[in-house]
Amino acid sequence: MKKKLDLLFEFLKLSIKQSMIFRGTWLLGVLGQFLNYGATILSLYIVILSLGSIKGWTAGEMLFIYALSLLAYALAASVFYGPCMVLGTKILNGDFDQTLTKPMNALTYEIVSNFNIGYISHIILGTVLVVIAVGKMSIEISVVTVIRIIVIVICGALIQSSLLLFASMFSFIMVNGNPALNFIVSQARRFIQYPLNIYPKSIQLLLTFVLPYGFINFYPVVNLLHKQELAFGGSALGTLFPIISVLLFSISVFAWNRSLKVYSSAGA
Amino acid sequence: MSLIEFDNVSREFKIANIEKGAAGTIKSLFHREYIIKKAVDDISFHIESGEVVGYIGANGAGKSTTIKLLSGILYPTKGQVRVDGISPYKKRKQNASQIGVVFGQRSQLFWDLPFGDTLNLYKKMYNIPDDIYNKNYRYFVELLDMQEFINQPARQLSLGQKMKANIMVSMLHDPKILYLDEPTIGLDVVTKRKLRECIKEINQDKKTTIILTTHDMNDIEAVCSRLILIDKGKKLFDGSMDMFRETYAAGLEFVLEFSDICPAWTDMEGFRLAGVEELKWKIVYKGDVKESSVLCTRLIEKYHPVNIWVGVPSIENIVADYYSKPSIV
Amino acid sequence: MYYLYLFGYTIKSKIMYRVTFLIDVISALLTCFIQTSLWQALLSGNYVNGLSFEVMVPYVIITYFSAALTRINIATTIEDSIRDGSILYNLIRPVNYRRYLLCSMIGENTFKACINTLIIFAVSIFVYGIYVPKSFLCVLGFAVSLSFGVMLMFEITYVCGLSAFWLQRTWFIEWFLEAFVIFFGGSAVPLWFYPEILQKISVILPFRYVSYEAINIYLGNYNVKVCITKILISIFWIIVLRIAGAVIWKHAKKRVEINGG
Repeated sequence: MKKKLDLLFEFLKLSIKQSMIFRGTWLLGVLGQFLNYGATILSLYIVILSLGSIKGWTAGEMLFIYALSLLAYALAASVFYGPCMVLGTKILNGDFDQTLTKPMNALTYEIVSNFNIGYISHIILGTVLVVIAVGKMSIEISVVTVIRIIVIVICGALIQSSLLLFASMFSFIMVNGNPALNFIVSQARRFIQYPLNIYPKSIQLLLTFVLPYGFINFYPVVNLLHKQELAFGGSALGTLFPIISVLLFSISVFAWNRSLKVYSSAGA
Repeated sequence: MSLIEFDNVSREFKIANIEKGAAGTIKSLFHREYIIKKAVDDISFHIESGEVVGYIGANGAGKSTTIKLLSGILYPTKGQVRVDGISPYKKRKQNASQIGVVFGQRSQLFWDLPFGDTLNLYKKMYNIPDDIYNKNYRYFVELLDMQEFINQPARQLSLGQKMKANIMVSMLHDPKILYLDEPTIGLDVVTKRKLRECIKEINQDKKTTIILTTHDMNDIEAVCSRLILIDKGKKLFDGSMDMFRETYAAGLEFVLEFSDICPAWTDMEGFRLAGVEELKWKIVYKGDVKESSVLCTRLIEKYHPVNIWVGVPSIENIVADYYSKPSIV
Repeated sequence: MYYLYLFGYTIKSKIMYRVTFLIDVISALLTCFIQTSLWQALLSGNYVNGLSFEVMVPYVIITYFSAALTRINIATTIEDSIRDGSILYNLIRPVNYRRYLLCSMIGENTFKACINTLIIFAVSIFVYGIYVPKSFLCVLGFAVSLSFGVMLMFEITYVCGLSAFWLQRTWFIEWFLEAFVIFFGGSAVPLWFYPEILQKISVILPFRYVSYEAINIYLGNYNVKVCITKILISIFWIIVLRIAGAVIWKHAKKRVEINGG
């Protein structure tokens, strides 16, 4: 175990070192992402402020939902974006074969060698937004609340990670690009930048039972802010999210390793 | 028990068959036909510890697939692969810690970081004890002549330097077997020669079993004690270099040049017309070569060429002959 | 016709991948659906600045269409080709590099953008009904304005992308550009919701002429005179950026420095 951690830190050290070689562009990148998300949420915030509230949510609460979706994604992407995104290319050009010649679990190897510290901007922005949002919401600020928010973020990150992993598996069977992954990375997560109840019932069900995005921020927040009347199934789903996240994550890791086996038997 | 046992192994791939042209493209949207391609077709061989084996064949002959089967990247469709007593694809990780693999033109170095950093990482990945690491470090830096570029980022290394660096990275943990997939591809003649010497020395000093695929016969001639020739997934030859020469290269090769027109070829015992090229004939003689002057005289008397060259057939030509069988006129 | 061939080739290789195609349509539909749902929720019960939900549907679709048409990352393309050395081919071939990029953008995006937008449009008629423009002139002005907008966006991306010749890493450029388009081009929230100060800043920048003004023209928010002014401004920006691009390209060519050997 200690040796494994040692190796992990070595990889981390190298990826930080690698980023820092071009620290100028790296900092600009962090700033660019900061501005990008900042612009989106700021422009939306301006609108909600001028309109009052939206389907039972105040501007501050909307900010909170947005910030949580950003944080969950950023944490998941720091670890899984790199390995998932490069998988298709690596399989196509044969670099993935090199991964398989290493005496490590292939997923672990891909994760540690593609760790991305660039998401620090998302994480900072997300944290700042959460703090701002909490100040604007009518919620009692206590140690318990802080812990509950941290648990929500971690579980959200686990769900987001498992979705990334599931989508990345398509790269094993599709040679040219992975539309499913692009969909998860750039489109689907936009759903939960806003509370689920702005969507029709059918979409809410889809985002609960098919693509479980609702468990990343909507259902937990509904419970946290006592807005059960806005959510499908009342408070039930809001208490289930930790179990669901751990379960999904385990299944996705298991399935990834299984499809690796399929790849080796069908492979290129 | 041999170190590497490759028994009746076949490996098939399914390839989508898409017709050319717009119609084919649109058709492929709805219906696709697949063809089964046998990349490796019932190949068997055993390799003993300490051997240097050249695995040779044209592009697409199945060389890389074999390396992938041996290193546990691919499952065989049929047959059994055993490396050091274990099945590489079932125990991929265990197998991986016993082998080193270098794919020509694929780098396992960190692009932007000094090569030394990559070494450190591999030390941790393979759990290499300090003393072994230091010993190997000194050994390879000296052998591969790397002092000057050890602190340069990988992106600044030349192709030859990258290959050396990749070999070093793959050898740090003292693997039992080193697979080299096209190690000399793209290198210039001098670098190729140096690299071959290094590979030879690694085998002698470290007793590492080395399997290298190539389509450059000179690689094999310089380094390997044994050669396996494959084509279209099938094994054509397996044996020592000397045996290869004896079986396929015994005899002589003549080139005859004529002044204006080629005469008609008539069958001669032992001779075979292997190729015709404008005013030149390539003739292969198989059989006992005791008096080449007699053979020359027979050819000159019969066909009256203006020029005649005599030589031992190069392995390259033999392999080329193998691939282009219908070259007999 | 090299460019035509390139165009056809890219389209063909696009159709090849049917799954990609399908998921792409779905994801485009969803993008627009999320946006319209948000506006529906925001504007239900609210009636702000004389705005109603029905104008937001064309806003969402047109924003999508123009973004899909101009989706290209020139900086990374250049960075990659510098890194693997293939930029040399582009410099020695008798093909204008800028035009090469432009054509591959058109070839890559046009087919997909049009198909997706048509599908989105059809679905939106079914779900939300149709927004009828006030006159034919609105549609004409819109088409002209959007065409120039697409060209303008290409020039912006091109000029920014050329910086790849001076920088070794360029992935951040896309983030900045998108941030500017979101904030000053009104691609996430229409600028008419903005406080005056932000609106004033957006007027002196080129981003709002990419698609936002085309939307306004479509919705009939401008009279003929304003329409023509807006289109002329976008042409002005295209010319300015075209000149800037040519100057930068001249310097960039001198700087081609290939990594490694």
